[in-house]
Amino acid sequence: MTTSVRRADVEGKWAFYLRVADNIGGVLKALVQYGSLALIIYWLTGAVESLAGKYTFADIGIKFLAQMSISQSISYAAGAGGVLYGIRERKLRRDKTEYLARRNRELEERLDPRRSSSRLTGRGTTRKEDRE
Amino acid sequence: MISMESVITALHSGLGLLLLWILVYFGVREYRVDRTRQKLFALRDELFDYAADGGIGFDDTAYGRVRTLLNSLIRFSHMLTFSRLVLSSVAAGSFTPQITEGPHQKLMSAIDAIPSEDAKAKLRDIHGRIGRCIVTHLVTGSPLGMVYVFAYVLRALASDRFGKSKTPKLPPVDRLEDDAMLAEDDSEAELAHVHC
Repeated sequence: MTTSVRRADVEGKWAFYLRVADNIGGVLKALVQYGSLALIIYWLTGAVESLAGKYTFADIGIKFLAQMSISQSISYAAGAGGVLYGIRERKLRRDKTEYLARRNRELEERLDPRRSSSRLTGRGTTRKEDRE
Repeated sequence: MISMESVITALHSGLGLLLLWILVYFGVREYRVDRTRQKLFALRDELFDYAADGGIGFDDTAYGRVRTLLNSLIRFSHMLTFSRLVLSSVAAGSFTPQITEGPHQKLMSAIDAIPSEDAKAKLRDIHGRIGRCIVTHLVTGSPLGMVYVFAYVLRALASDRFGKSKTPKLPPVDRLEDDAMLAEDDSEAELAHVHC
């Protein structure tokens, strides 16, 4: 009895430590992700603010577009096109996953009625309640 | 005084960085998680096919534990990071391993208890490949992880060169396996509570 109480105590402590580590890891990750975004936005607004009172937003916008070289424009177009292509491909893959996963589950349950699931969404993505 | 030209250059750089940020956090990161999940799904299918061919029973404890491990890792793949592994290792360092038998240890005991040598070897092989898949995911996704592996290789080469018997250890992935399975257990308990 004493051993089992001691065991439960240690296991509880272990799970607690893991959870604390998990939370610290989550906070660190969020700090890097949103910290870098805040830094970029700070930089961008700082650049625009330095011209406050001297030029209008329209002036800055026109100058921004006018200074863009042909090679720069092509680079932006290629980058944006690549991202759009990736998004469309990902959607197609997830649609196909949804279509195939249902059939796979039905077939596997015929052999193993107690078949357990990964609990992802039907499209193979993380469920809302499991997100960080 | 700051000229308009230098501001425009700063705006171009800032916009480029913003696009890069979007690509990393909404493209590359999701892709890496999906790729790892796909590898784990393939291993789960292989395990299922092995059981369907009669290699091991669907109701065998070892089969159930390996499948649960795979399901937990697939479900929580988005939370597998090198920093988490390091923090888990540090935080869990104070528990007493002699008393506690974590989910990983239970899984290994269940595999050891399989009577068939063939099934035992198959499940150990699958478990080993799960570990490699997780290590690849952790290391390739973190500059810190890459430095760690580089240092590991150097140390391993040095200990080999100078004939030291003590070889360095790779990241303790079993900690993350425990982490994932404990999270799965918590979720099961919450669900049971809701249904009660």
